[in-house]
Amino acid sequence: MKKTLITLFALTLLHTGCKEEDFLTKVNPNTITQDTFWKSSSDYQSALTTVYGALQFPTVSGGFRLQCEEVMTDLGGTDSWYPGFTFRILTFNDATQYVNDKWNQLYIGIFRANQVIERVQKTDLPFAKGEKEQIEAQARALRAFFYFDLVQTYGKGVLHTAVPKSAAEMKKPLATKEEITAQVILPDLEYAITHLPQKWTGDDLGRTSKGMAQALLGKVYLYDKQWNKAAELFKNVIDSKVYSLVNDPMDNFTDRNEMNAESIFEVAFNGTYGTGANAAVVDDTPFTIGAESSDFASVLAPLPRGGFNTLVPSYFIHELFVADQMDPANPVNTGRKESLRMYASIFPRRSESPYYQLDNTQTAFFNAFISSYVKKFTNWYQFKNEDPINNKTGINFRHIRLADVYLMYAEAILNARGEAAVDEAIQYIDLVRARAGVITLRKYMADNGGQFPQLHVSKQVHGNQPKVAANAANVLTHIQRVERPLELAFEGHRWKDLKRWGITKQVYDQLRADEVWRINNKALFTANFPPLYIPGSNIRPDFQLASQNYNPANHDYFPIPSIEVQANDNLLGK
Amino acid sequence: MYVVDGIPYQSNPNIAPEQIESIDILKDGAAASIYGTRASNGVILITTKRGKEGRMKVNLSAYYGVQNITSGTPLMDAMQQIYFEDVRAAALGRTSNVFLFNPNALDFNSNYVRDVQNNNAPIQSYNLSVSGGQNNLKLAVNSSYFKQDGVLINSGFDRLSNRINGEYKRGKFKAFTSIGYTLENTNQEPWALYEFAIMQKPFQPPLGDIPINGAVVQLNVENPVTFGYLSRQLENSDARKTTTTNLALNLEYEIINGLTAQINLGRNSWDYRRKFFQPQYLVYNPQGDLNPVASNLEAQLKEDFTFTDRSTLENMLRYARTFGKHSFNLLAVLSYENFNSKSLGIGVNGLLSNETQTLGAGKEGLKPTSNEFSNSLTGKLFRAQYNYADKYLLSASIRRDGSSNFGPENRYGTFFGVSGGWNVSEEKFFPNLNARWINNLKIRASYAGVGNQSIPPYSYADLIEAGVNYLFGPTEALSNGTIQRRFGNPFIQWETNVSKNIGVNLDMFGGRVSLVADYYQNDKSNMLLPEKLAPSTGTYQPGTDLYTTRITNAGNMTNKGLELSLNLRDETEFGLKWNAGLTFTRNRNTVTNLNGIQIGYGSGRPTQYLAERRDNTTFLSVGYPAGSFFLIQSDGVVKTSEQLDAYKKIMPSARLGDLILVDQNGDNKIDDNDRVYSGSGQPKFESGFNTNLNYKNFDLFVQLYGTYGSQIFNGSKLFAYATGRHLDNYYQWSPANPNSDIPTNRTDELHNNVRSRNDFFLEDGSYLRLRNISLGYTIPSRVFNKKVERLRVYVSAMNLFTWTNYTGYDPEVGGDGLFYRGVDRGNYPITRRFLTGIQFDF
Repeated sequence: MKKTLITLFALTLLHTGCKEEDFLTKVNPNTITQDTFWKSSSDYQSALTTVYGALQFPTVSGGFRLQCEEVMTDLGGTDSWYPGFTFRILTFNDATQYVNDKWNQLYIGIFRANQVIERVQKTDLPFAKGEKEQIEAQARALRAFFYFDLVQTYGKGVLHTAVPKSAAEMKKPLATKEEITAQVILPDLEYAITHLPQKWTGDDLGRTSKGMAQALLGKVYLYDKQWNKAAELFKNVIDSKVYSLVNDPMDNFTDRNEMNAESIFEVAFNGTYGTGANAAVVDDTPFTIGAESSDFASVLAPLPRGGFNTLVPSYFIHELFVADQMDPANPVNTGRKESLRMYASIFPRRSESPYYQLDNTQTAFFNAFISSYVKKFTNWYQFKNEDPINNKTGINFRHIRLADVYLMYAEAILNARGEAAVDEAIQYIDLVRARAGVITLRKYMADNGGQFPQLHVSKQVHGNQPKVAANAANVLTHIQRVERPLELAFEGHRWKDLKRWGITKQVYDQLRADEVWRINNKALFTANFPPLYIPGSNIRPDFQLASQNYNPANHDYFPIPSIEVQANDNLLGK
Repeated sequence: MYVVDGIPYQSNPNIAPEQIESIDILKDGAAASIYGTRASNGVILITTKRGKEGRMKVNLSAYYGVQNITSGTPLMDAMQQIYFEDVRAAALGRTSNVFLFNPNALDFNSNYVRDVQNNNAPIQSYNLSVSGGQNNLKLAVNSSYFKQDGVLINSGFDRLSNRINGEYKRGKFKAFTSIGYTLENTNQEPWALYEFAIMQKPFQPPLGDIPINGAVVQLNVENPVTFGYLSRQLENSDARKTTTTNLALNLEYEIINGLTAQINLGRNSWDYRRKFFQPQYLVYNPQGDLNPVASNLEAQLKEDFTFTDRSTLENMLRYARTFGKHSFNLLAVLSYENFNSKSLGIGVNGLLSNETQTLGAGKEGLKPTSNEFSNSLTGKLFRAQYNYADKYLLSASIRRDGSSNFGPENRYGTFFGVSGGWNVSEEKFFPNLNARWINNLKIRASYAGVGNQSIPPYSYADLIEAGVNYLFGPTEALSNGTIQRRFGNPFIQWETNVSKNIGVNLDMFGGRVSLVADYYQNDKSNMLLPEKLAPSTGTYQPGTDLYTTRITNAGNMTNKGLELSLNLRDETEFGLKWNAGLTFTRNRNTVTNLNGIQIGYGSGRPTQYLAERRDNTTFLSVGYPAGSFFLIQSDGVVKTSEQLDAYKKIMPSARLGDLILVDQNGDNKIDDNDRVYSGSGQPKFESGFNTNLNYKNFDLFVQLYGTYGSQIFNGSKLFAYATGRHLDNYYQWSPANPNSDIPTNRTDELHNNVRSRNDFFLEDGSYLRLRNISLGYTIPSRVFNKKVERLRVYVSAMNLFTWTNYTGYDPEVGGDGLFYRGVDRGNYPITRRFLTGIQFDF
């Protein structure tokens, strides 16, 4: 016994003693470390994939973004019990979810892009010819996209162009919009224009291209009112002949003709990957599975069809679609009751369009205050209802498409060259209008002695729409108040457009006045009163508090999220 | 840290109270140093019941009781809620939708909180132990069963534990072994159930009235989505089962006179499985239309498993020698510990029916998830103790600990300890002091350093993680992405806790009065804490906060305090035996250094639902207690247009009825820089009183406990305010009620009026509580002809009364770590218990 015990004692002592270093070395079985990664070009490609992956976040390209941003504009409305309501009445603050999430999610993309850019610039690994530059160029185009969205949303930001190496580098102070534009956005996009191919093909379709970088850079200049530079870049995109308008505008909002000829920058979604994953969970974590899908169909679809209808069209955009009449001479309209554009965009009360396999007499599911639903990005054309469990939809999201570039080009040349550009501007506007099947400006002018109607003026409220001469100012107003709202409604441009033009207050006040007229005349309104068909007891006051509360200094840009302020001591230079 | 029969446990070993012989809390840091790093948060020594030599003994005990709910949030009833909805909608220029969506609103006055509660839920416990021993062998066998029905519906807990202890002694050899096997079943109520119940509006039908037919349900309510969510959650089942086994073996052998070798071997395993079933649940409106969002169209089954095991090995060599009045005791220890954990989760969608709750009955599988980790510890200790005639006691130790949780450069830490004691009453001069009423006086002091390494494994490395994928090409082929998603910290090193302590033990009047007084100071340096990173580092992923922190050595903190305990015992002439104890504790906790950060490490979010969107309430700040409240002061409600004009300068969207927040720094805006220190959850002092009275065969035990000076954040009030359900909201400011001090509800749950950064929800948390009162009666053994050793019956009440000004659930909110002390999250009912029991020994 004694011997056994001593032997045992000695053995354990000896055995464990000499291998202590090994005993204390534990290798993480779940993942790998930096030392074993970045060893081949496929590692770099796989890291680059994650930068694209950050585009799929709901505040970057999804329903959450639309719900909150579009609801602030003249095009959207929502009910008071939805989280987006705070944007409708402009009481959002530095703790509001979207204000936080958008910041957080854009910075995930920036963090990933920085890793790729920093590593690829330093590596000595052999790459196929041009691959290294293309990896860097793609990552930089995406980083510029994230930063552009950031400064347009917050007016400033924290400038990270490298992975933080120390605690101090994790807490950088705020930089201005101008600093971020000059130090990252412009050089990144210029690098991307130089090194990206004009067009990707095959399995690479969907990557950032030269056209995307040019269009985005044009937009950066447009927002900065550098009209000539913007116009030149948009013209390059148009003249590249890589892009063309698709025949049916609906192809921009469904999963039937994705990555089509009109698409310049598109984010891919697919509802079938990640069984059981919720659309809002974009990436895998050790405890959850990520989806590759968007959640925006669920945001927009009506409650009885598996969605939440948290963003519905305002009465203004509803009426505008009605006023935007089809051109009977245009062959695309044969047999149509609604213009192609309206058919693709909204489902108004009494529409005869198919909708989630309902026949058009079933309007019972219209909540009393709602005159129409958003059709864009929803699966109304193919399913009976949206995925109510995980909110998944596979419809891609187009950030930049050619029709947008046409309208931005028209705006840029009108500003740059004034009356001299009116003809060319109308030419591009009419390309968009003709494709939609609605009466072109040229046709209006031909029929009205060179004038065209101001379609954005409510016929219901004001009786008629004034006709105006086709001068630069009036065409610009048409772009601002009619063409961009109709063509690009609910695609995430409107709030940024309104504030860069500085017309938010004016638009809110006008629409509030229309709203007051409707409320004062509510006796007229019945379920049979066109074009909205809503009872007078149910007029939604979308603009009451918006016009009362709006103040550009407080609302044009979001506050820096409270969590950032709390965790980043250097933010305010305290 | 827990040490059960010499084997260390990192977490609560979950031993049935009936199996415990004794519990000792090691306060003296020097004594704890033998356990090394694991002792950094104190040591609780548990000795399980062992057999005693002599005849076999059997103990039987049982109790049964009820849990009576005492908490509640005052909520509006249906009529009040309808009025409130009108007022609220009017403020938004809208009209209330109550009757639009609930034509039958006037028919109902539902109380969902009551519906989901299970008041007076039973609690019961049964225990049987058998012990005995002969010659060299002693054995004890214990089996106990405990069952607690939850006070929320669909919840409950039961535990069956068994333990066998054996001791064998022969000559110079001693062996002890213990085998424990515990099975636990938990039924978990749905997540945030209580809060979802508070949220529902009372003019809807009660949960019990929902017509359900198989998977088909008909709902006619305002918001079928949230209502359906709640009613559907109640159909879920969430069963968790854990199996714990503990094996301990201690072998001791005296090699030569005074030199003893000892080996302690331990192996514990903890296995967990969870079965989470969400049945198919189809919600229809009265017109017969399916509401897909309120429904669960397909049943889903998820099973999660965790397997863990911990092996420990300790080699000890002890040498004890006495020369006259000098005694020496030397100890050397070498210890190793290894811990492995593996979790995996699997699941299926679309089960055949709600009755086929097996994975095989699923239509399609969910992608499995898994996580594995292991860590290891080594320790070397040398300790020398010296004792002179029991008058002077001295001890010194040094230990070196290694942990796999740190990078190769920082793996080891070295820690020292010394302690000394002086038994004054043993001195020769003492009898001359003319203080015969003092029986024993001891003065002691200690200094001890202990390291802490309890952080998630691998925190020192930057990881490259997979699962960040994207789709390219017309076929949307999945391209797998891998990237760094969180930050490691290669510099992390051991946290050190140095405890210094000076104390006095005084026994007087023949043991009738005893006093223990301790003054201590504990200095933590290089505190290991998860540091919340700035979101601009790109680590705030939706749906998880896994990546948002990085472990760091945050700084230093001290705890200084005084502990006094006074015990009196006596027996009166007529045979009343009594004792009484009074304790007083005062602890002052201060953060002394945060490496340049003035205020940081925010936490303490006070609700469960929407927690990630609420503001932090507690922070670390230099010069203040850890986890102090830093909040924005409020100063009443905007009642006049003059006030409004003034307030609009700092809050442009302000309206009449809004809470006025104080712009502390005068920069004309309200933000995090306007937070001020608002107290902390740490009381100024705590005090307890207990007394035991025995008269003839009756015994009475009374325990009182109270604290003074803490602040509590009333989370349940915030929640009911934010969701527009609190009774106060009925009396809120409105044009018709212009003198109200209750801020107007603005629908938005995160509106400035109802943000958790406001001190509006902070309350004084002082209280005095009657924690326990029990009355027992022992039936005289002569009744049983001495065949029964003891038969006692008792009744007892726990938390019977609480005296406090706090209006939330419970002023004794659990100190869930530094950051949640004083944060009453109010998401579970608080109960008092009434028990009746019997103890039977023969």
